[in-house]
Parts: sequence; structure tokens; C-alpha cells
Amino acid sequence: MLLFRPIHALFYSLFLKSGQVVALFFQTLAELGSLSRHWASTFKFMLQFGLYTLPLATLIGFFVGMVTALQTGMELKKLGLTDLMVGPLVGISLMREMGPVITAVIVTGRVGAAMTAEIGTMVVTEEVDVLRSLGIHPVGFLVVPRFFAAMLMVPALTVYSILAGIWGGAMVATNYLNVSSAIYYDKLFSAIKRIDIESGMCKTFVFAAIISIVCCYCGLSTTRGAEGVGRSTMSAVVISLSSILIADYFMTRFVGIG
Amino acid sequence: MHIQVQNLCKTFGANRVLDGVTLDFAPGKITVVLGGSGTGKSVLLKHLVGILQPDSGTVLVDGRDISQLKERELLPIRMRIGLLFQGGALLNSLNVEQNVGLGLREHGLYPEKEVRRIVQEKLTLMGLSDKGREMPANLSGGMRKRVALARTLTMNPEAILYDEPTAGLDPPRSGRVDALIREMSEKTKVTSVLVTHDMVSAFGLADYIYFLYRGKVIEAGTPDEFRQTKNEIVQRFINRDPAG
Ligand SMILES: Nc1ncnc2c1ncn2[C@@H]1O[C@H](COP(=O)(O)OP(=O)(O)O)[C@@H](O)[C@H]1O
Ligand SMILES: [Mg+2]
Repeated sequence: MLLFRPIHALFYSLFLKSGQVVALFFQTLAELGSLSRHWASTFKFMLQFGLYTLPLATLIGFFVGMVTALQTGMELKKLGLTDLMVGPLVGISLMREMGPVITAVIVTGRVGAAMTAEIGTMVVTEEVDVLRSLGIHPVGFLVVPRFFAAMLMVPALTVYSILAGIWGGAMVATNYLNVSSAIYYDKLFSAIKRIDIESGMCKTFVFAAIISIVCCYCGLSTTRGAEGVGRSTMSAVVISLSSILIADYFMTRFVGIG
Repeated sequence: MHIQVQNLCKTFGANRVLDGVTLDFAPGKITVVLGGSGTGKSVLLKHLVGILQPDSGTVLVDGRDISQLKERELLPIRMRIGLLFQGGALLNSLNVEQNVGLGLREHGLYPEKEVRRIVQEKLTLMGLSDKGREMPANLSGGMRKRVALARTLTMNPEAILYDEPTAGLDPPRSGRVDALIREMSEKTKVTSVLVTHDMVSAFGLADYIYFLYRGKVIEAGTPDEFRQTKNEIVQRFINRDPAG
């Protein structure tokens, strides 16, 4: 019984909470007007999502590109297709899958978890109650700036890490697979179709919404007590990551296999 | 502003905090709620502005039941009621000046220049005119409370709910806070609700007193009636009897 409990509990809370998460999403849309009073804090969160995550996104994007080139390159070598195929494979897989997903995972861990902890602490120290007592809507004050910053910066970061990945792939292709960089880039860019870009970008906006709403939701639903913030931070990461991967599957399935 | 509470019940898990309390906070008067620690005084105050919602019972603000309202509908009512949290809760990411001006700026009630003037005026009133740039973490507990009071005053509330405003202050400072509460009440005809276990404040300020014990109101009356109470629990509380 004990063994099954965590899984069962996970699904239970997933179903229970998903309705409230969706409700928070619509509340956030309804409160978007409050953005005009919160440019300063929105800018702060844009830095967190964007600039401060840039080094990590570079590093990880670069290595994902290298691994993809290496792994596919060795298989393609057997078929003698390296020149033709390694660029397109790296480019398309980064653009459609790896870029958006990896960036979303990085942002969840690097920014989302911190956001949950920050809001959770504000709940525990009654700062959120202070906002409400002043007649300030907590969603407008806390969630809207983070949501907006995520919607702008996560896609930008994704584009950036895709480029880093393409560059990493080029490193492997030229140094290890004997593909000239001219051929690598030429094949890569001529293989990419509009649908690849659209499907990747569509995903990254959905992931940005998931990360910001889920992490804010977990922060706002923090309970009192010493373990409260730690627990909500953990569930933020768990719920955010699982939703990202589940959403990814369905978007790959339904948003154009072009 | 007239605030009434009828048959309010609130349970957290297995912890029955408020068990059917009925109180009446008369307009323009100072009403004191007495009670030991953990008897649900802070929980009661949070119900008066809809931060907590009751399991059953009603909270009437000028005759309108606010206990079932949605967050959006509550905001305008909350703007008219000032709640001073027990810890003088301030937003730790904002400095004193920003904390005090928070309500005014968020609601866009005045141009920025006017906001600055009001904030400075309230800070001066609280003896904090040079503390505008300090961060809350660098302030003492008493100063935090005064900053919170300054913030409340900027909103010109029709009712002020004080949650243990003198707890943790030395007697002279407590006296000053009491004087301020009285002055506010006399000058602006604001409805004051004072939660405390400081007997000096209670008897010095109250027009009417409620005594909360184990989730119920077990005694209510004017300070004179309280001094002559027959209720043993209340007597022990007033006389600081360790058996109480
Ligand atoms: N948000 C909450 N969740 C769970 N329990 C709470 C909450 N707020 C207060 N309580 C509990 O209610 C009881 C009364 O708390 P409180 O109103 O703060 O007492 P006090 O009279 O000292 O102000 C305490 O046992 C406290 O643990
Ligand atoms: Mg209290």
C-alpha cells in the first residue's frame, strides 16, 4: 500500500489541482490590464527569465546540439548519409522538440522553482494577505508580471538555445564527422520548413504559460508551517515538468506532423 | 462604517477556532476584542475583510453580507477598511516609502507627486520621516507596526482593525499608540476594532468589550461592566491569575 501511495497521491493532486490551475490562467488573463502599473517588476522578471538564464541555456543548448549530431552522425555514417542528413536532423529536432522542451526544463528549474519559493514565502509571512487587505488583487500584482515576462522571454530564450544547439552540432559535424560547415549549414537551413518553426514556437508559448501559471499557483497555495514552502516548490517542479512533457506529446501529435 | 458578525464558525482541519461568535462593531466607536493567545482573534479580523471565508455565519459590512463575495467584489470593500496585521506585515521586497504608498499607487488614486506628499505626511505623523528609504528587514518590530499604520492611514479608511498594536512595545510607546488610536477615533469618526490582551489599552480605550474564549464570546459589556464581572475566567484573565 505504502508503495502505491505516492503515485496515487500524485495523480489525485494532479486531477484536483488542474482545474484550479486552469482557473488561475483565466484569472491572469482577466487581470492583464494591471500590467500597466507593474512595468518595473515585469522588467525584473524578464531579466530573470532571459538574461540570467542565458549562460545556462547556452551551455545546455550547445551540448544538446553536440549530442544530437554525434548520436545521429554515427548511425548516418554507416549509411553514408552524414553529409546530407546530419544538419537537417540536428536542426529539425532542435527546432521542433529539443529546443522548446530543454529550454522549458531549464526555466522551470532555474526560474520557476525560485518564483514558487518567493510567492510561497510571501504567503507564509502574510504579505499576500496584506495585498488583499489593501484591496489589491494578488493575481494582478504577483502573477500577471511573471506570466507576461515568461511569455516574452521563454520563446526568446528558446530561439537562442536552438541557435546554440545548431552551433554545437556544427562543431561535432566539422571536427568529428568530417562534414564541412558550409554543407552542414546549407543542408540544415534548406531542410527547415515553416511548419517546423511554427510548431516549435507554438510549443514554447504553451510551455511558458504552463511554467508561469503552475509555479505561481503552487506558490499561492502554499500552506503554513516550516515544510510549506519546500513542499510547494517541489510540487511546482513536478507538476510543471510533467505538464510540459504531456503537453509536448499532444502538440507533436496534433500540431502538424508536416 | 458598521460591521456585524453573526454566528461565525471557522474550522481549520480538526481545529475549531471560531464556534459561532456574534459581535457588533458600532460605527465611530472603539470596540475591543479580548482573549488569550491562539483564541482566534486574528482569524476573526481576517474574516472582517474577507481574507478568510467562514464555514458558516455572516459578516455584514454596512448591512451587506461579504462572506460569500468573490475576490474582485471584495476589493472595493477592503479599500475602505484598514487591517493592521499582528506582525505589522510589510512587503519585504519594497522599502518603507514604497510600502506606505503601495495602496495609493496600485489604485492610481492620485498623481505621483500627490502620492509622495501623502506618504511623507503619514510617515512624519508616525515619527518616521527619515526612514523612507530603509528596507523593512532593518526596522524594529515597533517601527514596522508604525509603517503599517502609516500605510493604513493613507487609504483614509472608514474602519481600522488593529491586531495587537501594542504587543511587544514598551509602556511609553504603548501609551503613544493608544493615544493615536483614540485620536484617530475622535478626529475621523472611524470605526475602530482593537484586538489585544493588553488590559491597560483595553480598559483605557474601549467603548465596548468582547471576551473571546475557546471560540465563543463568553462575556460582553462596557469597561465598567467588565471590572465587575462575575465570570471567573474573565476575572482570572483581568487579574493575571496564573490559574487562568
Ligand atoms: N490559515 C490558517 N490555517 C490553519 N490554521 C490557522 C490559520 N490561521 C490561524 N490558524 C489557527 O487558528 C488558531 C487561532 O489563531 P489566531 O487567530 O492567530 O490566534 P490569536 O487569537 O492569538 O490571534 C491557532 O490555533 C492557529 O494555529
Ligand atoms: Mg493574533
